[in-house]
Amino acid sequence: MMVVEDSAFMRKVITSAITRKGIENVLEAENGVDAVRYYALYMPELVIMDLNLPGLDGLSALREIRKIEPCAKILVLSANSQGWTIYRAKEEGASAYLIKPFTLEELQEVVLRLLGLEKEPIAVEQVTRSSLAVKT
Amino acid sequence: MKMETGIVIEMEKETNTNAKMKIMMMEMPFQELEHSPITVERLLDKTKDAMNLLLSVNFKITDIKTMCVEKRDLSDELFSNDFHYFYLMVISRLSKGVDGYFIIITDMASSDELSFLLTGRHTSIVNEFEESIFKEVCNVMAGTFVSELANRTGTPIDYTIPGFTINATGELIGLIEKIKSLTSNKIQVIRFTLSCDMPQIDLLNMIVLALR
Repeated sequence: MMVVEDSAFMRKVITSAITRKGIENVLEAENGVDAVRYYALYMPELVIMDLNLPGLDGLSALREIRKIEPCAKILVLSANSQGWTIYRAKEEGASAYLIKPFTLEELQEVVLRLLGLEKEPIAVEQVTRSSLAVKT
Repeated sequence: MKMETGIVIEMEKETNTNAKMKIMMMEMPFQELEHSPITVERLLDKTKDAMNLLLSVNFKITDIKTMCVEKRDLSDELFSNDFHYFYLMVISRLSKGVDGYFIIITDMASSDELSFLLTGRHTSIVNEFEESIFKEVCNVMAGTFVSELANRTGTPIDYTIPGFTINATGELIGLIEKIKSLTSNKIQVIRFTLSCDMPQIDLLNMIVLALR
């Protein structure tokens, strides 16, 4: 698992939330360039990626990671809930899009579903505004 | 008012009529905004929802004031009083090729309140981790505001991460440089007072959980 966030605070929040669900070996990257580099080295099962990143932005990093592994699972996190941005993330191959702010429970639920650790997978094209999670 | 996530929000009923539709003064396509029921209050309400969810604290936004000022006048506006301490700055580039900028500013008291909630100290932000908390809050507020505006107007808006730097004494620096770099002469300024209903001792659930 890899968390890509430029905010030290959010990296801590996200890592803390997912490790409490028993997920270990969490890589952290502060920017898009490191994210692509770490992905090529360690091939994490899931990437949790912010969109607003210094240097290489989240969408570009997503694109580069998908070049390395076309089936890469990538959960995009962003405060940007513009329909066009979500659509672009989908076009670039994002597995899911979670709009900030989210609760830790919402994050954990989406992560577990993407990892196949929950019984019920996220429905295709399901848009759940109540949970702020958008399956792309 | 009940928000989508189930948190009950107390909306301040008092409105400033001057605030209504002043957002049209931003350099945006007027014809779209004229027919949209957009008010600054509603946009800020959405932003407040985000704040409440992020911080697990019930906030009220009151005393909304909006203005559109020339860039050359903005420095005086920002720095001649104490409204400059906590702000969000969003540089937007509208897809139709028109540059638009707006700055959201809260007053010093609200900044202090936020700072205390976020860091347990008043106003001064002393380390990178605290600064990252502050920036994340700004990021969520700005992102929510811009997204709501974009989705309501049907106009995609690219925006930067709210940019500011805090020096060792807790003062915000870098704002003047940001403003100077803007290509537009018109700057939309939205001021609002952010107040908290709950005792400040009820600190942020997220931070507490994160630091456990």
